[in-house]
Amino acid sequence: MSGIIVTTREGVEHRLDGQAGMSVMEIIRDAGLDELLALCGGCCSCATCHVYVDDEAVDALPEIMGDESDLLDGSDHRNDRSRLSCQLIYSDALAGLRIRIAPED
Amino acid sequence: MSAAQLMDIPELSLTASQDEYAAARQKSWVGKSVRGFEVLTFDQGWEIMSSKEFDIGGGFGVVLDAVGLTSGPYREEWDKQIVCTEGELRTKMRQPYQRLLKPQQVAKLQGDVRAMIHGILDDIEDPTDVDFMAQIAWRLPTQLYCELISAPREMAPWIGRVTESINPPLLMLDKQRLPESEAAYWEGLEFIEKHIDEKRKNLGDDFTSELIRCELEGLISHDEVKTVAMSLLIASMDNTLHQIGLTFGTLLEDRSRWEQVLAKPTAAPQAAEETYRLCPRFGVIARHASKDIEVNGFTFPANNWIWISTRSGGRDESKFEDANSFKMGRPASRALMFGSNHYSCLGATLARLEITETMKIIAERFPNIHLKEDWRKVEGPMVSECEHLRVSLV
Repeated sequence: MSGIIVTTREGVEHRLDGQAGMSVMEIIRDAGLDELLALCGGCCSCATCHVYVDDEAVDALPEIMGDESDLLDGSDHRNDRSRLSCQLIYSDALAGLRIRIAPED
Repeated sequence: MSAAQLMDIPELSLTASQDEYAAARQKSWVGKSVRGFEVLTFDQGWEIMSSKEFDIGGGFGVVLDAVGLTSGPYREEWDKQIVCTEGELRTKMRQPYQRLLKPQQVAKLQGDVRAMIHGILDDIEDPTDVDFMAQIAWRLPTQLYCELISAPREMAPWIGRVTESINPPLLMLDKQRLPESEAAYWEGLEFIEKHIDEKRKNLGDDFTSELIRCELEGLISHDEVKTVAMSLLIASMDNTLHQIGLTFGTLLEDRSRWEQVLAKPTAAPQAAEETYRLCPRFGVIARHASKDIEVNGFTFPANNWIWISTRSGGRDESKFEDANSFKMGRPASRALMFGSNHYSCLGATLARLEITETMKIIAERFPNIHLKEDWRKVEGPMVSECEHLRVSLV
C-alpha cells in the first residue's frame, strides 16, 4: 500500500495518502487531524509534532539529529520509537509506515 | 583581518532599506555599521547564532549602554536579568523558563488561548472599524499573562501599560522615555513582590507558584524568583503583540497572502513563519566575538559585535526562491529572530501559539478581514513596531 497509517491518541486509525517530499507532519495536518499542533510549521523548533514510529520502521528512517533529539528530550513520553514527524519526509520507501501520535505531556 | 578586507565590505545604516540590504548582499555576506558587523545572509546568520564560539558580550547590556542607562539602581536591576547574563549563571537561570515554557507545556495552553481570542473578538462592538493593535493584539498577551500567573484578568490593561513602558523605550533606543521606563519598572516590581509573597502562602498551578517550587528544589535562589518573575512581566508581552500586528499587517497588505491562509487554514503555522521571515519583530540578533573567529573565510576580529540582520537574512535570495514573495509551502526554515541553541528565545513556542491561533480563529470567523487604510510599522535599529493597523473584520 502507499501512504501512511496514523493512530490517534484515542486509538482511531486513519489511512492517509502521502505525497513524496511532504513531511509526515504535513500529511497528518492536511488530513485534518489536529492533535499535532506543529506550532513552528515544521522547522524543528517546537516539538509539538511528536509521534511514535512502528518498531519495524525505526531503522529505515533517517537518523535522528541533535536538534530533534534535544527537543524530544523535553517530553515525558519519549521512547526509542519517538520522532518529530516534521523531520520524516515521505517517499515510496515509507509506504505503509505506521505511526501513533504521542500522548500529550 | 586585513585593512583591505575591512574596506571591501559594504557599509550600512542601522535602518537600511530592503533595497540597500539587497545591494549589499550582492557584494558580500557581511557588512559593517557604526555598531559593528552586520551579517546579511541566512545561512551565515544561522551558523553564527548556533556557534558556541560567539558569546553575547553581556547581552542586553549593550542596549542599555546605547540608551544611556549605564549606572544606578535601575541599571543594577537590569544587570540581574537573564538577558544581561552569560555563562553558567545564564544557563542556571534558563532552567525555570525551560520548565515553564517548554513546548509540551505550552501546547496545553491551546484551549485557553483559543477561548481568550474568541472572547476578545466577541467584545468588539463595531467589526467594521477595529483598531487591531488596541482591540486585539494588546489584549491577548496581557490576558494570557494574567492567566499564567493567576492574577485577575481585570489587571490586564494595567499590565499592558506597565509592560509597554518598561521595555519598548529601551528596544527603540528612545532616551527621552528612559524616566518612563524606570518608573514603570519600579511599579511592576512592587506588584511582583506582593504577588510572590501572596503565592508563597498558597502555592497553586501557575507560573509564579512554579517558580517558588524551583526555589524550594534549589534550582534558583529566593531573589532569583523575583528576577525571573520580573523578566516574564518585562519580556512576555510587547514582543508578541507587536509581532501579531506585524504578521497581520504583512498578510493583509496583499490580499493574495490572506487568500493563501484561507485556502489552507491548517497551515497557519507555516503562514506565520513566512511573516516572521518577511517582517520580523526583532531586526537583529546580537553576538560578540571575544577572540578572532573565522566564518566562511571572513575573520571577525576580537572584541567586536556581530549583528545578525533578520531583515536581510529573511530576504536572502541565495536561500529563498522569490525571496520577497509570501509563499506558503516553502521548505521549512527556522525564523532567525527566535535565535538558536543556548541563547534561543525561551518564549518562542508561546508566541507562536498566540500568533497562529489568532490567525486560525480570525480566518474561521472573519475571512473577509481587510485593511481600512494603509498600515504603519516603525523599523528601529533593533526592533520593528506595528504603529497603526486599522481593519474591518467583515
